[in-house]
Amino acid sequence: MPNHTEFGECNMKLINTILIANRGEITSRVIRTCKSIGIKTIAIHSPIDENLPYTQEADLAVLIGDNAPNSSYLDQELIINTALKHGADAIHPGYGFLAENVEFAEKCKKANLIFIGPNSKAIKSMGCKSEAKYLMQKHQVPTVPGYQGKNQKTGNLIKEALKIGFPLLLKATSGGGGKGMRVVKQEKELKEAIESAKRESLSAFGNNELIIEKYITHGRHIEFQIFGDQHGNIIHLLERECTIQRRHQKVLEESPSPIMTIDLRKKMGEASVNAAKALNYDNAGTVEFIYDDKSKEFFFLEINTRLQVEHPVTEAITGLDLVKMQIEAAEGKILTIKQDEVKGKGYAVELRLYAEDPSNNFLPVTGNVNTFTYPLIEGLRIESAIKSGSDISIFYDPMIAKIIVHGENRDSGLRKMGYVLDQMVCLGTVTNQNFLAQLVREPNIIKGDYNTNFLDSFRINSKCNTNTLSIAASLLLHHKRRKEQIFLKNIPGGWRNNYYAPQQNKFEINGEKIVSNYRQKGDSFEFYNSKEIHNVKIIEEKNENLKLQINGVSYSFKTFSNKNEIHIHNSTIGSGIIKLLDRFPVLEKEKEKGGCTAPMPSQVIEILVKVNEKIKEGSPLAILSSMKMENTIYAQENGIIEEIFTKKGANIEAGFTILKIKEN
Amino acid sequence: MKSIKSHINLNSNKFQENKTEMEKLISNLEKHMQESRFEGKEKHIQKARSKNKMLARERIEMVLDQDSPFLELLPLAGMKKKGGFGAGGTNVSGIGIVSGKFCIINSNVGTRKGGSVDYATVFKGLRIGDITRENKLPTINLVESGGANLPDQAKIFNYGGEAFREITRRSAMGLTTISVVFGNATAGGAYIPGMSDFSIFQKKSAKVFLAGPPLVKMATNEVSNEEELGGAEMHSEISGVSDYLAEDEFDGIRIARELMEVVKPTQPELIPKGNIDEPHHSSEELLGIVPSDPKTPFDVREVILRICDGSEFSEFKKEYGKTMVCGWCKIHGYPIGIIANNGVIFSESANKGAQFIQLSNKNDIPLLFIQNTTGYMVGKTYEEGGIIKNGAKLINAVSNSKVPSVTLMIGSSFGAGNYGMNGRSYDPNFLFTYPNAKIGVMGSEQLAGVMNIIQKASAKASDIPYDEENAKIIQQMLINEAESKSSAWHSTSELWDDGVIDPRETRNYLGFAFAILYNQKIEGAKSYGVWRM
Repeated sequence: MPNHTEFGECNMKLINTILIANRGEITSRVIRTCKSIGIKTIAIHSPIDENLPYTQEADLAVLIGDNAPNSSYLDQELIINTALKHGADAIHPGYGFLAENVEFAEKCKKANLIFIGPNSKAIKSMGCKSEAKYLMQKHQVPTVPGYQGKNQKTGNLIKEALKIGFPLLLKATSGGGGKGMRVVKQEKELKEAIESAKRESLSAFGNNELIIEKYITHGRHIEFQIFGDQHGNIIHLLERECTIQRRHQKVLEESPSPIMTIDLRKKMGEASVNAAKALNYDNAGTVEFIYDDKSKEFFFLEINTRLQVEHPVTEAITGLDLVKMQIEAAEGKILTIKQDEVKGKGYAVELRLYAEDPSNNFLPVTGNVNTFTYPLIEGLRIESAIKSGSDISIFYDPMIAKIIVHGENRDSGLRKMGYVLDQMVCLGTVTNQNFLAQLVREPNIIKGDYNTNFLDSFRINSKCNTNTLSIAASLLLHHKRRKEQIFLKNIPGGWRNNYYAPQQNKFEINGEKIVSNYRQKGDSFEFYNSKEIHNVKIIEEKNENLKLQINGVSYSFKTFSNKNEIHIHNSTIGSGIIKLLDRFPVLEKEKEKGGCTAPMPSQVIEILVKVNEKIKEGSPLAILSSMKMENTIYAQENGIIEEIFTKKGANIEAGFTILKIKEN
Repeated sequence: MKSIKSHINLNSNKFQENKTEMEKLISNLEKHMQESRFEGKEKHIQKARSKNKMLARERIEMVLDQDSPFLELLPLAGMKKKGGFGAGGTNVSGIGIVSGKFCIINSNVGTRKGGSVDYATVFKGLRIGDITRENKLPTINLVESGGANLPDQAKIFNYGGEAFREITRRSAMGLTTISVVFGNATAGGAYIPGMSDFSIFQKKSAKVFLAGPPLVKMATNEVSNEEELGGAEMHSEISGVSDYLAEDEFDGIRIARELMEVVKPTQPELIPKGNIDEPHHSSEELLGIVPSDPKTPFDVREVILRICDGSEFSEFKKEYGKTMVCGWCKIHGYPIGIIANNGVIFSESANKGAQFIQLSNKNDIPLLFIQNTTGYMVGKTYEEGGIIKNGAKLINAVSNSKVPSVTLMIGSSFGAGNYGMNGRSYDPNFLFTYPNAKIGVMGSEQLAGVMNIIQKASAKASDIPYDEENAKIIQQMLINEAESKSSAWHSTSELWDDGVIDPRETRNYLGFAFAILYNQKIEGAKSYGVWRM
């Protein structure tokens, strides 16, 4: 018998094959544990996910349905039939998709498949945020004041909201991950917020019910990992703090929390276990609290009845394998680890690398990740959905990877995280990498002094060393052009026999325009981009890797060119996407006037206007959805709708002209 | 091929002296080049800027492929011409690469004297026309010119017509001319776009008419304005003189670049592939090798090994006619034959050169003539030895040679030596001059000396007393006059060369020139004039 197990034997049913009803990194994560304990895995994938790493890692990968999640990862019948057809005896739902869907858990049971997660009753009471709140109140777990009633008419919700006062929070009762969630600061935003939260929640969870809560402005989000077996044993596996969020999406998750004391941990831990016990909880779950920095009170928010995205943080400090524990609990084994045996070792932090544009309000972007590499450092764990060459599609969450660092303490852990982010190369699409690298070095983050609004006032410093990046970009272009030129390759580029202007490239880096002027002098180059002249030598140029010596300092750049974009990474400067501006600018007359275009690749949720309809500047024209985030397009001018080029449900690319407005 | 060795001591006094002298000449050259870059008075430049106009040289930069080289030609033409507009005139010309193809670019300096054309500018244009035709290049004209400089009109009127004739003759040969008109192109100037294969007029800016409103009023009493007579819109929509209506200067240049993509590419004889070795010795050293005083002898191989690929030179008939160094090598990957003087030309040297020219023609190899000669050897023995008929053989070979050629003047170029060594009148495709070079019938001191002897003899014959003092003054005047008339500056001002060059850039100039020569098929001569044996 292995000496390292948290479970004892009981009337258990051994699992041999697991179908993972999910995609991306979490599927890879589950497969890894399965392999280590000898369980076969079946992955499912939509057509567009065909080449993601997890499809290769699974023992069997089955193409199901279509790209839209509703017809693949959310299609319960299809998934269950696939599991049965290929001989699975259990289904691991991962997180998101069907992970907290009672109906699905029950269907699995009916089909004689073990659903790896808590019993469906627990899911049911927690899946519905309103029920959960009642239950917790009954068990003396403190909850946030608010409305969780059945009357879901917009009018009633408005009435209840007004009773609670502003700011308030709307939540999808079946929600999670920030979807269907809205902070409402004033009355006039209320109606539209309720309607869009309902729409989003219907699309994401198939249910449009909302609860309303008082919004705690100086709150910290602290959650406890809980774990139970089918024999009534329940423990918690310490806390995770996930206060740093944007649009209710967690950005930074860490453990231990910087404000945690032994006393508070004891109190909150007990509350979590009580909450779990109220549900007869029997698998991995998370009890979320909001901690009020001012009053030092904590309130129950919800229990997530699934494995969390940030579970590796807990794994890092406890040394446990939560997926293995989930499987064993589902098999009916007895949890043998005792509460007082759970000890945190060191500090762990997780950041999520996303394909999103920090300079454009962190809107998701799509694209191809041409290069994704990271250093091999002790204490670093990367959970990645993709590999070099993978596409980020519009259909799913644009997460590229989770980066988890384990350190001795908080300071050194954050420092290591900063170093990892510098060394990591992710080229081909816009990412939040520079933002993350800046975040972990932010003095208030290092002090642990923050609340859930931290990122609202956080200023992104886009002023990286654009001059150096532009030098590298110019020389890459120079090299490329010289390669294409067939004549006089050995005469210096831009050679002149009479004085002339230097060669020039115009770039845009993070919205900043940069003019790069240079002359080749023999083997080296002189750059005149700033007051100081930079002497630059090309030391090496190979496979789009560029090594330059700039004023005596050597820099290595990893690059990737895509049409007029040059993606560059250097470990001391950061990453940048440098756009080469057209030498001959597009003329006014060629620009489309009166057009309204999609800011990012999206799906059309609703067209709010009709042809020949009169519109005013600022009136909403269309609602788009990208990666399940809704985005309303407003008119920039007064006019009349001349023509509409797309329709509800269509998938459109960034820059697609949605409709044309003619002058009134 | 084998590399040849240098025998120069870089630390010798002579080397250092030569270097100091050459550096002075180069700083003069830079001063003159600076004059050539004058693009008009500040107020005219400001006016152009306020109208969002680019200057002539900026337009060239925009039309060229990025990071590609450009060879400006005749930048100092007319620099010593009294009453002219100064170095280079009002047209910047050269050869560049546009949309991957070599082409001639002419850019009017509209901000200098309104871009009007003086004597030197006309002749520069004609020389550029020769280069364009001989090297089968397409042309892009960036036009903004007020036409003939009226005070010069009598001197230039008859020659000026050649420019228009040449555009259409080139067109008949299959060579394209594209003209982008940014401003004035009036009267005769109107035929520049008028004769071009493609004309691009800039909206609200191009003005192209035979006669402006005042002249029309004088001629027919019609009242009109400039837009009606020759605006870009009128020519694009009504007259059809313009083929493309450009929104602005950038757009005009963009269209010209686009049209260059359409122009039929030439069939180059050769485009070098693979690695090209640099010379084993630095071109900087050329400064100390070439003496500023043309009377001081030096070994021309020291120059050759600093300009050819890998310093590799395969010398022909090394032991025979030693004052003529002949051999084959490559420059920037292009195979060439070099004929270079190592002093005065003897009968053997002339015969060797003639034979080498025939061999190069037989193998279709272009030639580089490096001139540094005081001419053919004179004296009883040499006349008896038939220096005339042997010199004639060299001139016969040079005159009838059909392979393209470049001539480089690096020292003296006197007497018939200039002819035998492919001087201006023998139509080399390109001719470049070092700033120390001297060109004339003979050296200035010899010339003054000869004049002195003749005058003394004449005085004696006429029995007139000969004033030694006065003669000395006259002699010095003669020396000065001959000296200045034989200088590189005078030569380049008179358009006897295509540019005075910094010796350190020799390799790049030549590489550029031979790339142009190799850009078409090369076929050597099959027959020559009668050889007097």
